[in-house]
Amino acid sequence: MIKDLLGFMLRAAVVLTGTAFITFALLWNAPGDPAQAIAMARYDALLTEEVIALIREEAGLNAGFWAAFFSWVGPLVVLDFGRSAVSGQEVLPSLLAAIFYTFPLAMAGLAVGTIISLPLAILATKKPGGLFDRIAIAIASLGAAIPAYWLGLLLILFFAVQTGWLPAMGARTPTHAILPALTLGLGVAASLTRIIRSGILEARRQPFLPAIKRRGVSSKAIGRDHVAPHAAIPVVTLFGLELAFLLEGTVMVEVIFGRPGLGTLLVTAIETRDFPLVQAVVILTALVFVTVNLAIDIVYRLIDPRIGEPDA
Amino acid sequence: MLKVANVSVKHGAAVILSNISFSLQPGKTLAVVGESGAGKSTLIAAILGFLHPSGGKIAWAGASVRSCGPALVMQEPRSAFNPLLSLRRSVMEPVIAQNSEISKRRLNRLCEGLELPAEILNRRPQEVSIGQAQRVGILRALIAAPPLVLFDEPLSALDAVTQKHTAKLIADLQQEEGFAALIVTHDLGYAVAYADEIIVLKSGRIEEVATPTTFAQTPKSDYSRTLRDAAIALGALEASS
Repeated sequence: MIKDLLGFMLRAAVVLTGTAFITFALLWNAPGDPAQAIAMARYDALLTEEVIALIREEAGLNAGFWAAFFSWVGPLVVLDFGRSAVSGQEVLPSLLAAIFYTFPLAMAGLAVGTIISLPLAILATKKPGGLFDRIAIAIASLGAAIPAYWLGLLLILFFAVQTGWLPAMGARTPTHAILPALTLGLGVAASLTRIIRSGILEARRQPFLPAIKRRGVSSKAIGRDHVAPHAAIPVVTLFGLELAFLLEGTVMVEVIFGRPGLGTLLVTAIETRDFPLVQAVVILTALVFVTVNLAIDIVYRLIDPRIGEPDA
Repeated sequence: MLKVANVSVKHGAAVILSNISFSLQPGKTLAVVGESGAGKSTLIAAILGFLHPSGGKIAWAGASVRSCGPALVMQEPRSAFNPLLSLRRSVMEPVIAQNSEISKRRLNRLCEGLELPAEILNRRPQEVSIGQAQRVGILRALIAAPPLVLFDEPLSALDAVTQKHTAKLIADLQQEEGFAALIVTHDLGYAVAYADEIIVLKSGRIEEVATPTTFAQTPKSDYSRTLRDAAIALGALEASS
């Protein structure tokens, strides 16, 4: 157990350090003068060389790559993300405010995906190859093929522009989250439906089932005790990955629907070369991936005690 | 009574079983022998209702076989259990499902007869040897005293001494409880020693139905004779005088 925990922490440290370094290196070497971009964002005007030089000094751009990298990465250990190069304010409050919008949206997307995919997949497996199964596969394929930005626009066109049933832009009320959550959730539903369906069909082919099927064990008990736990293993993997990717997916969806959140924050930070803010969002995303991976690992072990054990 | 009447099973154009008929009385043992691919396991699947015969009828006491809660001892012992559950949970599953109660004495007696330390049931299938898993499979089949037990190579993973003990335990329990046993096996010595009747299958057809004595001494068909002679050559059967 302790060995597993140390292994996890080591992996997490490698992933987070690697992410921090690569992001910093990419931003540092991006074309254009970061000081100019910060100045434009801060004052919305072209400024003199003296002011640009002052900003360069202030943002630590004169210190050289390694010095700048370490001066930023050091305080990160105590969760000090530094100050925004543009606004001069602490990064952490902006980050927390953005998470407040993004995290519930990602969760809502995941909930929509699960609510659609679970019954769809279960009904599809009632009669594999039957009409409903084919329809479910077709819906899932269609869902996977439609990009989020196009689906989002279609939903806006129908529900906001033509019928006026739902608001499209902003995040003032909970109803503002319906269309973004649907946009995210339909994509999730597509991949979840396919994986749950194939998981159930695979689990039903387990070799030990004939030995118990005729012993009076009900189909409900077989489904609950034997099929579901086996079908859950690939589903948990995808579920975790979807959760992590949803945070990424919200970047586009937030921009389409004009919502505040991590996506909008990241896009603005990249445009203005706000190093500390970009870094903070990227590190947070990496942290989510690492945490989700740990959660998947734990859930795996709860479902299947063989995982993590030495071979018998 | 298990009654199999004119059963045929086809897979596409291929005939897997052709016009199979036999009956099996409670308390009796029927051994089905024959080469690999003869249709022995298909016969078990058809009896249990896992595949639908293209012709003929299979019934237990005039009703469907499924209604009597038949037990199956599978050929591959390790894959016969859910790897996520303890063996105890797997063994007790039919008991719980049938709302029946099993005395501790019966469980202990079966475990003793099968040479299974009780502690083994707390393990999962991948934590025991193949031979132990095989015996737990037999335990699971017999625990709830089913009226019909289908054995698919029940002794194949056991050493000679355990084979002998296990075969005797099955026979003793059958005497006491009167279940009908259908045993699919390549072990002709076991079939001759314990079966009341032997069916020889070849390419999905019944070559011969014989008593163990007839099969061992004066088999009628050429194929039965070939099988018998091979078993004698390997020392599984004694040559008749």
